[in-house]
Amino acid sequence: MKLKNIIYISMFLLLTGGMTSCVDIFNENLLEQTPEQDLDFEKVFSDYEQFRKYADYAYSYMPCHLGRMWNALNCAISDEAEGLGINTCSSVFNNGAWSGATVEAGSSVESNITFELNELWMKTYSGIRQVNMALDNMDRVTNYPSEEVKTRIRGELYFLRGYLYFELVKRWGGVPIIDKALDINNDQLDKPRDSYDDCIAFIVNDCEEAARLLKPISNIENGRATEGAALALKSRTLLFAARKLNNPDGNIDKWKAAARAAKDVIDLNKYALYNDYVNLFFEPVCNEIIMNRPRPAINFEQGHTDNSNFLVRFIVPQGYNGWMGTAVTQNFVDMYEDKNGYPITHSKSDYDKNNPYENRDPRFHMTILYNDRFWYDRNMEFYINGRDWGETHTNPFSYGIAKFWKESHQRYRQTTCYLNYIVFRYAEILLNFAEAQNEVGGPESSLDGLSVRDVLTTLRARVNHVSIPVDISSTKEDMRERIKNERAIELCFEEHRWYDVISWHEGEKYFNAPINAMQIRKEDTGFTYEVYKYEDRIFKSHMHRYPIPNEEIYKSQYLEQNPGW
Amino acid sequence: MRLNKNIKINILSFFLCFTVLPAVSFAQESDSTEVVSISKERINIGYGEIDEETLSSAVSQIEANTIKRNAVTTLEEALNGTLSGLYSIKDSGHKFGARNFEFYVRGKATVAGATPLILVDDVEANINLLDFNEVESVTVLKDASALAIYGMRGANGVILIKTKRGAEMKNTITVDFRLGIQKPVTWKKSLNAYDYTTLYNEAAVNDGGVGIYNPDVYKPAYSSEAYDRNYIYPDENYGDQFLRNHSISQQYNFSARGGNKTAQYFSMVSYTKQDGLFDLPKGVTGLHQNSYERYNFRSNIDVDLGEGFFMSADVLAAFDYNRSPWMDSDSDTNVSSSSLIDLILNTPANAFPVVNKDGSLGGTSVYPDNPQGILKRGMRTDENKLLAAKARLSKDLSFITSGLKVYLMYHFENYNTSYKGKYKEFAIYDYNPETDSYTKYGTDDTMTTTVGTSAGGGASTYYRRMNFFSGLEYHRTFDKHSVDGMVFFNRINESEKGDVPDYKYQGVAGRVLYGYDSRYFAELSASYQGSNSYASGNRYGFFPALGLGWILSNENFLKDNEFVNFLKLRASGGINGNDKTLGNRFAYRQSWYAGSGYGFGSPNAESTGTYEGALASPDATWEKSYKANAGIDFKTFRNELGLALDFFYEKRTDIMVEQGNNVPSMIGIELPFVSEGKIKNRGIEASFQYHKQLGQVGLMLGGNFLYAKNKIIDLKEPSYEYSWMYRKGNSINTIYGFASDGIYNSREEIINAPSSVYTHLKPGDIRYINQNPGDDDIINQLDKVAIGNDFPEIIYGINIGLTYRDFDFSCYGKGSALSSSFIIPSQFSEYARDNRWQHAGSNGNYPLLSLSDKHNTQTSDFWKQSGNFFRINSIELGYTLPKDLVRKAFLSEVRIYVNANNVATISSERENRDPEAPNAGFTEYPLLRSFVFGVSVKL
Repeated sequence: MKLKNIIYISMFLLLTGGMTSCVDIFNENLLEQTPEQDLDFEKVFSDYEQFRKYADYAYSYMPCHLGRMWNALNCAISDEAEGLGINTCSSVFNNGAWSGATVEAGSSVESNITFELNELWMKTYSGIRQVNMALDNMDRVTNYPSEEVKTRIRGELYFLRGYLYFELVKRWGGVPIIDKALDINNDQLDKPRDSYDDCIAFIVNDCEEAARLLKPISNIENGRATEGAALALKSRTLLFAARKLNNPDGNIDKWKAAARAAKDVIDLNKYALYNDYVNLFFEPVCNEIIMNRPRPAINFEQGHTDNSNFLVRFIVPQGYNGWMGTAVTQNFVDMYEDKNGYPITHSKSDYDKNNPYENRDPRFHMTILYNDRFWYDRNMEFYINGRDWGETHTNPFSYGIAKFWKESHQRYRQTTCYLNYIVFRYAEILLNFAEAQNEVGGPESSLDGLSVRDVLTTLRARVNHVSIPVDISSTKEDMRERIKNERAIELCFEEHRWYDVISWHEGEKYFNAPINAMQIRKEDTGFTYEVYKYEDRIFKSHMHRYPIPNEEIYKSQYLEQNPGW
Repeated sequence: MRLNKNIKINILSFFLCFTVLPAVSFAQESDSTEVVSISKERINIGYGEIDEETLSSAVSQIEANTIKRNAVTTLEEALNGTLSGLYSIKDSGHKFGARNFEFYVRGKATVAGATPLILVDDVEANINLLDFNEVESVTVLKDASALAIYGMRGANGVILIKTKRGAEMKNTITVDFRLGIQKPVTWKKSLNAYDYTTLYNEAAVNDGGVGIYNPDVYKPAYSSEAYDRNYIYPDENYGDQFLRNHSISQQYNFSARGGNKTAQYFSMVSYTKQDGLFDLPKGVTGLHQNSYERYNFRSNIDVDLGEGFFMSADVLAAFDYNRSPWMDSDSDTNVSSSSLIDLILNTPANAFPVVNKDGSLGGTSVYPDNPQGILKRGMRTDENKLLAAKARLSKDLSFITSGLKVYLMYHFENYNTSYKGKYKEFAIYDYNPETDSYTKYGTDDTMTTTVGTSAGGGASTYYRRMNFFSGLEYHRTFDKHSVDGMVFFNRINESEKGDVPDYKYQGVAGRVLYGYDSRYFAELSASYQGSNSYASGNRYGFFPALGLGWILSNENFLKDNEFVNFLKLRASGGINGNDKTLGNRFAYRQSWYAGSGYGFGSPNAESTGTYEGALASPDATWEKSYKANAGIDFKTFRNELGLALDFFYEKRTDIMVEQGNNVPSMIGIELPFVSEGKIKNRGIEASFQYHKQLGQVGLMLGGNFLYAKNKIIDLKEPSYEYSWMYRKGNSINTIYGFASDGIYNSREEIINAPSSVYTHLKPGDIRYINQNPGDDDIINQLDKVAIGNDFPEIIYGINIGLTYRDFDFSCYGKGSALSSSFIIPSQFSEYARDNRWQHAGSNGNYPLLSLSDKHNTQTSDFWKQSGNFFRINSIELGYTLPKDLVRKAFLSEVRIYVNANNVATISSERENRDPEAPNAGFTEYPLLRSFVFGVSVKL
């Protein structure tokens, strides 16, 4: 072998070796990769700044925005409204075809109802895990700015866990209680459902713990849980627990507990009714709001939490450049009392069916878009072929929602507006109290000096509405109906009615009934109004409790489906 | 091409006769002519070439000649039905400068990425910008033995593309010139205003609303003040005004090839231009047309440096300009062009007059997109830029032992895209006849420019690949033994746009082919490869394979057999890998994410949040593919007829499946993918080649056929309530949907029918079958059953070649069978107009019209059609000028030819849609049919 050849070979080997040396080629370190993001368990649970982000993120699991079902508002699954247009997903609830069946992402209708069914089950448990992880590991963090901050976070976490469990329980009844973050390798991952009462006790306990921890904290930012929010959640929880669906035997103690819980919030003396009912929803903060989800001012195309075109999609008629996604039903419009406080079907009512929008509860004008009312720069045209009745986005009901649309905020005008998602407001607490105390002792009864009738009078006075006439509310039963009606009107479209009705166990009464709409014609002499049946809705007895997603039943050995599904 | 069924069948049988009968008849009278000997084919097997005869693995290959006859502008088009065992599926409308076909080798064996690895000259490369003129051959590697050296990237098969190189030959300069007309295969027929408004009203009434139009005003005979009528009641055919029925394509290619003992070269430069299909009405100027231009350069040089040193240097540069009218900044021009086509073809005829009476652009708040405004407002240009360089240095080590070589190879490829948009906004005006005034939407703006580059910008992409190889090669024949071996180290590094860690592979691979006495062959190949996407300890895998071959015709007992000219048995088996798995790339470690969460304060400040990603999957790994192949090659009739038959079986394990399938969600965290799924795939592949020279007539026939069927063995599905819900036992591309039983004809039929999760049932809705009537009375997800398969289990290709004196003719076709399609025609289509349900007794091929239907548009067997089709891909007729004549002009060869591409498709698809790309020409850019005139001159 020539020397030259040896040199050549050495050079080759050197080159080869330099790039991929025979030793190094199997060295795993060469393939080691820095992670895309340098977060991990250790980092999140050692430093306060990181931990704070983790704990705060738990709030985002609260199902708190009106457009959360993406293609219909929650009110369209109840008898308040109807989802219109191509994308509505509320029809599945309306026609009784909802179930625990698998929902494929992407199939337009079903993938949106999942935000109320399958996905909500999963997401809520994700939130519960986030809270449990934070509670389990918050002592690892050593550098809290102050002990008060640590206490506040702990209080918020208890509130959030209670809130998330309540969201599950109000839909499904008793659910498995997971009170720590499960470890995939070491923990039992499958669990049977806990009883409804155990769940309520668990939630109440979390509320009380939260209230206890948060009580001494001063200066809590808007949007965070407070003592008031924790007590309000307890009030709502106990009210639901006392209602017929969950208290079929009518145990009076449950009503007493509910009345007391509501009174506890009132007794905080922190909250009051805000005098401007219309703008309550457009103020970033006011003293009626016990807890809300703060949002920046949105422009017209933005949504409630994201760029979901909330107003354009759901609220605004075509005549105002919207897509008219949600129409209010005639059934709901008919629930507004006349200006003297009588139902329009009552013999004393001065309701005129040829002039149906005159002389009504003042809140009718404040919350409903209806024909020929003035809005922004003209009278609305909900008559056939009118601009707001629509061309391609027609509204066969001739009503829309005014509650979430500030009149001065118009498309293509570059305006912005706050739009609150209110988690708890004081009016709800008053209604909680009235409903519970009425069950305890009737319309004239009082708790610590606060009577059912007075509470309702106060609430109605805020909108300049008369007190409930005594002749239609003298008995507990009559008053019960008026309170239910009052609750529907006061809290309309705010994601209450559907859950209220099912917990009253009255789904078949309201949701299995024909839905009516209004047809208006413009004649030379004025408008003619004609109510017609739009559709039949289906609601069966078993639907008072949601179906657990079938996938979960398939995966579990223990989970029992709710009866009837 | 619009053909009724009878004609289609006639044409199909004509083609069958044309292909099969001559083969038979010529075979019988084959005694008179001279023997055509088939030269020993060299087959590219990845990092080397061997004689076809010695091959024991399953491989198919096409050469430049076939490529040129099938490609119009891109190489992809040449792989369409010409390679046995290769699926090429045109899955959308035509795209310029981008991937147009999805390839699969022998079907699919995974629910994850099933596409093959595409290599150009042994390194992974982008072929979207390649010019087909620079390609020498395309080879498909299909079995374990051929794929083992590709490690965890081989299991889906490999497509090897070899570019042209120089040789020791006379310097040859070739100039190719092509001029063509491209025509859209299909344009959707839009409804006129009368039909549209009639259907719209009917749909609105069906939905419980009121018909808002008066269709009569759109009738031509309607006689009101005709003067202004078209402005108030427009009846526009936007397609006629804004789309062309043909465009021009041109291609110029210049290449030089040659070499002496010391240096050889191939060098090419080429220019391609295709015009687009947008247009403006007569008399309107200022069109921003779409068009595509591409420049290609290649230079492959081999030099013998003496003293056993050889060097190759390859350089490739390609770039293109893809222009289209400005739509938006989010997508690329291909998507923009498609969305503009969608807009033009699917805007209702009465939406607005293109131009108002006062000359302004028409439009409404609902339909603000005036095509004339868009076509004139400006354009965007996307540029793709590709630069690749490769160097290979080798040294003959015959001083150690004869036939040994060592080499080093380095490759670099850089690809990026950018775009520039130049456009202005325009206003539209909605005429209100009552007030005789216009409402203005939008603003007439001045020109703006946006630029997207590799650094950012929505549409821009970027990657950089580096390959480093070093290895040894050994070729030697002594006595009756032949040995062909190689071993190499490789390192691959690929960077992508964005915050993505580089993809890195490294390892060692080798192959030994041993032949004894040209009768017995063995091929042992293996690789040990690592990838950085897996956990430490799981990064490397070993992929071995063995192939065996036996040429019976070289045995004494068959050597002189007249009938059997060649007979070989082949078998191979081994393990390959696929790392195109589902789930996160670094699944072995848990991710924690930062996200915008919830805001606090008044007004709020968005605060960032943190949350857990899916739990870790510590044992995540690539898919393992256990492949077996058995084949037979047979030649007879003096080598005129060659047949090959292969049986293959593959079992894929470690397919990523969701662990969450079996863990209840109450754990509250996304669960990872785990490597636990299993799928098998098996089938038959057959091909034949027939050559015959009958006097001055030369005939060539060829065909290939593949049947591949996969079956899901286990995907760790949950315990479903009903057996029909399982994917297990079905194939990967099984379509799940509703079984239907016609249409509900009356209210009475609906009363006792199961309700639908999608709608309030009405007469005219499709009657779906409730699969679980005992358990619920609802049509929902639980009632979806396997109703078909949208991936063909059979594919085939045929080719015919004829030569007569200086004339040559060729024809290539491809087809597929055993698949179904589920396309639903729009409710505003001629199909719906002619077939819709209106009352009991309607023909019932289309359900009740609706504006908001969700029931009838579900995937169901109501819409099922056979996906079978046969396509004539290419027909070429050429004439080579007589040599004497040519020489007088100092040329060596001149050939003129006409070529038609994508000539005709026979299928049963509704509305004349393409079975592979059903939306092409409807909501996407159409497929193109080309007629090319070409001249090829050799100096």
